[in-house]
Parts: sequence; C-alpha cells; structure tokens
Amino acid sequence: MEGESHITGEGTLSAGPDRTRQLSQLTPREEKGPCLAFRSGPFVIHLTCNYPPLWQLLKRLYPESEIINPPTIADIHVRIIRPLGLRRWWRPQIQFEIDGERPFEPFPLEQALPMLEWGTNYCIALRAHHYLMLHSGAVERNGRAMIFPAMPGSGKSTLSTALSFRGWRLLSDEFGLVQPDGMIHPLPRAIPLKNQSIQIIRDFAPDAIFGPEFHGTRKGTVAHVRPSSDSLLRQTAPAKPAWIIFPHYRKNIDTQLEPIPHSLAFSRLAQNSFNYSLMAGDGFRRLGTLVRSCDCYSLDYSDLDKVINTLSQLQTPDESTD
Amino acid sequence: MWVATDPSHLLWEEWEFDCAVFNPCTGQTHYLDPLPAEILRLVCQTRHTTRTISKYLAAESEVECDTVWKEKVTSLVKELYRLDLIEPAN
Repeated sequence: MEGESHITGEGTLSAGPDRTRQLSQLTPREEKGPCLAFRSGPFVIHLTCNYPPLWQLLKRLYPESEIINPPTIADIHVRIIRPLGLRRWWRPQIQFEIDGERPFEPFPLEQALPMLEWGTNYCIALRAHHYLMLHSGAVERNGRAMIFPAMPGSGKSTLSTALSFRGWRLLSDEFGLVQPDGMIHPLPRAIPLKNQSIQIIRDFAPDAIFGPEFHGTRKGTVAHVRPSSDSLLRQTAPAKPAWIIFPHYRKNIDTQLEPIPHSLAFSRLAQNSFNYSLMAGDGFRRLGTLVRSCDCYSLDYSDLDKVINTLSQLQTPDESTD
Repeated sequence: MWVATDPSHLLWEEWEFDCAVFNPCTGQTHYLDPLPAEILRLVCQTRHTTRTISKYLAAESEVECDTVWKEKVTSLVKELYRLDLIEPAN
C-alpha cells in the first residue's frame, strides 16, 4: 500500500477562530456528509462518507473531538462509501477505502461504524511508524500513564474502560503510542467492547454512553463506549509512563498483581508491539527506555472494583525509590 | 580466533541478571544469560580464542577451567556465531 507520506502525525491544532469547532457542533448539513477532517489523538482523519447515520454516530461518540476546518494536511484519508448498484436495495453494504485501495471485503451497511474504527486502526498500525506502537490499553492519572499490553481477549479494553469511569483518563484501549521522547501519546477512540464485556461495563458504569450494539460482526457483538470529555479534550496531551501491567482476565479469581523482571517485560513488549522489528535500533532504544522508566507487573483479575482498588494504590516508580 | 561482527553498533540493554542485545546487521534482538553475555562483551573488546575465553571467564567466575567448562563455553561461542554476533577473525 502506498501513502506513508500521508501519516505525518503533524496535523496541527490551530488557534484560528474557524478551527475550534467540535463534532458535537456538526450542522445538519454537515451530518449528511460528504466529507470532513477531525482530530483523533495525534492524527487528523479526513473522512468522506455518503452514509449520514455514520456522521450522527461520530457526533455522539466523539462530541469533543476537534473539527479541522478548513482541512490542514490530513494523516489518514478514509472513504466509507455505500456502493451504488442494484445490490443496495436487497443487501446493502458499506465499503472502506484508504488512498483508493479497498483492503477489506465490504461490511453490511449497518456496520459502518465498526468498519471505520477497525479500518482506521489498520491504517495507524501499518503507517504510524514515528511511534513505537504497543498493542495495549493505556490510562493516565496525575500525569502518569499505566500501560496494559495484551493480546485480544485478555480484558485490556474492559479494564481500560472501567478505569476511565473511576478517575483515570483514557489514553487508548488499543494503542500505546510511544513518542521519541518516551512519553505516551493519547489516541482516545470509542472503545469497542465485545460480547460479555458490554453488559459488564453497563453494570459497572451506568452513566457510560454507548453506541448501538452491532450483532454478527467478525468479533461477535460489539458496542462502542464514548470516551470521557476529559479524554477527548486532552487528546494531544501526552503522559509519562510509570507502570506496565500485563493483564489477564480470568473468571472468579482474586486479583493477583505480581512484579515481573524488566527483562521479561521487555521481551513481552517486543513481541506485543506492532512495529518493534520495523523500527530496528530505534525501537530497541525506545523500548529499553520505556521499560527502565516503569514498574512492571503481571495481573490476573476478575472483579473490576477490586482490581481498580489495587491498581490505584500503586506508587509511582519515583515515589517508591525515594 | 573470534571477533564481534559489529561491536560498535551492537545495542545493549542490561538488567540485573540478563541482557538484550540488538544486532543491526541482522535486525534481531537476542536475550542473553550472563555467561553468553560475558563472552560477547569479551569478544567485543578484543579478539579471542575459545581457549582464552574459557580461561579468562573461569578465573572471573572462580570455577575450574575443566573439560565441562570448556565444552560449555565452546557451545556458547558456536551459538553466538550462529546468531551472527561473532565471527572468525581473518
């Protein structure tokens, strides 16, 4: 795929009066599309879409995300297009395009939002190599980041979501973006909870705002949780990493948080990263700096209240060495 | 006689007991226990034979430089060679 030049991470937050609107302020005309640029963490996404319900969902799930208007240089150019043709009348579909390429098969029309979210993650994972990208959730409190590297199904999204409803700022449920200076850059996206996690978070955080439930996706039932206003308003404010925690959800067990050696954390993170090998020596150095600056743990958990209580009591590495 | 393949460009990340080494020639990261790490460090400083490596590290580790030790060091040297971290000197 071409187009690495499209993802610079340098989309700027401009102070001009015509550039400070948010997605919640989309006009009825803009809600019909066809195109708009908006901020998502360090990236500017230029979206073209001829399916109005998707714009309404974006307005609901990312109300505080900044509209970049007029569009500056966008990092990601995405088209979510409802194909014309006879099929649209009996089995309507939606198509994802990036730089004119169609990397996926079409999705059913009603799954436009999951398609946009997965497709955008795909673009970021393939292209944003100025960051060391960990496959991880991440949250922040008092300026310090807690990183949850894990494979799908280990509960990192559920845990990150739960923490975000107990005073932590969601940085991301999917990407730990490690800057050259070692800071973690936020990428707060709507959190795609799957299957049982949906009801767990509905019970845990009744105030959580959800998008619709999408049934029969390739990951089962998916529902997106809106990130907090704080997360969206501070999506260009990085955090200093303090803890690396490898979570593993296991039914009906007590919370177990065990320190692990830095060497083990390093090797596990190298395997977990989207682009460690690609970044070569830079990735090695950046990962080494990250691990050195953090306390590292393995976590088995079941009960969200208990695990949050345990994690909230962790001292920052600086405090614990005093 | 052995030398390190690219000693000035190897990247090291060291912890209390073990370490990781990134070899830019291969793009590979290697996780080394203390003994192979010491062998690599030694060969990075100057060229050595397997015999001098065995002897030096036996003294450093305060163990006897017997056949078992020599075989262990020889095996590790071969492994480092296989990983392109060291190579025979010209």
